[in-house]
Amino acid sequence: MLLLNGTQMHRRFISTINNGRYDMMKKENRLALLFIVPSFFGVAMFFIIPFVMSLGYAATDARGNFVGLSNFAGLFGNESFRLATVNTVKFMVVAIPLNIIIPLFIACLLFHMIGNVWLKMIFMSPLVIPSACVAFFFQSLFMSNGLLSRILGENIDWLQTEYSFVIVVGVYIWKNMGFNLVLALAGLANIPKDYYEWAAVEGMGKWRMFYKITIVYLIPALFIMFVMSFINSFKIFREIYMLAGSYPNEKIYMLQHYMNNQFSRLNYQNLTTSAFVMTFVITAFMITFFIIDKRVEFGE
Amino acid sequence: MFQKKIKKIPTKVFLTVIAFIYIIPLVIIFTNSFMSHGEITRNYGEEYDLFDYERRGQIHYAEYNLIPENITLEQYNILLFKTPAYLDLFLNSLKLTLPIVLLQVVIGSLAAFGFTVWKSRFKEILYCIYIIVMVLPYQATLVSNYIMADGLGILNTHLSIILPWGFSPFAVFIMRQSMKSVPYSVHEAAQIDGAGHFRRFLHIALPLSKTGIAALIVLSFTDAWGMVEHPMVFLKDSSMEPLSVTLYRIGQGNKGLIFAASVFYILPVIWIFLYGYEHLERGVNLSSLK
Repeated sequence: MLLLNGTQMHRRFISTINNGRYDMMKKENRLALLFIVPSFFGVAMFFIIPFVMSLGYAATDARGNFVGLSNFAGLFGNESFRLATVNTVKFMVVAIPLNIIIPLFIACLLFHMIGNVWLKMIFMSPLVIPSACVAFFFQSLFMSNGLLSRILGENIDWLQTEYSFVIVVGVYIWKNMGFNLVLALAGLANIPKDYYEWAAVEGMGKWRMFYKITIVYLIPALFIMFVMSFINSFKIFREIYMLAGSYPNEKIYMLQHYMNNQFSRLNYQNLTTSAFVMTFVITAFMITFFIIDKRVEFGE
Repeated sequence: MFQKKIKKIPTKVFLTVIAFIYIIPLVIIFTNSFMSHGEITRNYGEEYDLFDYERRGQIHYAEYNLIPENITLEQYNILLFKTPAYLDLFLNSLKLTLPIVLLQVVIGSLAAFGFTVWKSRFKEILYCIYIIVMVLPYQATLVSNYIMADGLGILNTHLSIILPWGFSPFAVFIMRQSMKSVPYSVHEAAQIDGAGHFRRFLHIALPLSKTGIAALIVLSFTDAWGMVEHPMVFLKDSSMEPLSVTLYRIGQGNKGLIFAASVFYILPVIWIFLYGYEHLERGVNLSSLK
């Protein structure tokens, strides 16, 4: 038999108590799961389970025969799908960086202004206004007898030309800049002022300060600005649809138009296949993005 | 001091010009809602009046008049009293938006609390699924929602929009961000005092995340109020549509009503926006919390 000394006794005593507490905590922990259950039930029911089910549609033809990947092959061979994909990617590549740079610039100007609440509110307001309410106004700017035609002296429905892309990017920035502006302003407020004072003592120039201090400390804010611009870039469909209808100029025919037109034909195979491709690409993109985000975070 | 002020003038002018561009659509919609039907058709029409002999046949460019020639409530009168269909559509918007906001607040805050106190290695994996569903565009998730709504037999009812939207992971995200700003030691202290999960939820987590709830209400209300994609897919019956979809069609046909209808539809959002702006701003900033 082993004789226990004081420390060992103490340890054993603590561990019995901890075991009891551990059981209690385990029970508590299971109770905590109950809070997630209603939400998870809904997310599983309306997003996850039907998504898995939709894979079944994507792998079969209209009569239910298994066809493997031929739906996917058909999708990538589909000209309007390819056009929509190219347009959507093009839109994102142009609009998202602009939607980060412009608010950042305005935030730098606004930051030192006292009483900027009203300006902030004005810049935020398009975010909450239903797109249908301003659609007619925008149409009136770009229609064949609209303001732009008058300025340029040409009677063209600008939304039906290749310039529609520029218009849509402009509307996107008009609508979504406020969100990023608020994020950028909060990010700027988090940078300690001393850093700039020290840098000034060291004789650093203004531009050097901007990219050595401001940009570096804004990186977390920039990441979330990017994610939000990304999410909202898909919502531009509302505006395009309101401005130019279901079949707009081919420069602004987006993935969402393609999906919507499949819905009106109720083509399950095409719908599920393209939804799967979209989900897959976005998930892969987001996971890489979050990994980079973590890397940057730990790198500093 | 004085020089500093002068230096700031170009910045101020620049910002004011941009703010002006931002606010002008709203101002025009508002003032034009007091125009008569005829004046709007004349201002935005493509041709000159038939009786304008000199310029008949020439192209007429849209004119933006800030102040109506004679201020009338004609549009509002037609909208509110002569065509009850518009009021029904407005009610549809309310019937869709209010349950969505309520569901999001209740389910979102419950789940966010669960994610705060639950300890498991599966937690972050589960949360990651939530984030991915949140980032997916409506067009990708609508297919899933449609399949389920079809299976449940609730297509062409408001429920088919309310349910998937009410379970939106975005609500969980915002609420979790807001609960993150409460130090966990507060929870531990309450736990040692013997408060169970439910009491801690009611007496600590909820009261301390009032801002988060307010921000969520503003964000989800304004998003749902402007819904376009869901009704287009789920509702076949145009009398069940919210006004946000129908407004578009009003603009295509009866231009004379579009401004009053827009103002009528913007008012609830503007009210919530002005009332909850501070919360909205904080809510936006919550999303950047690590």
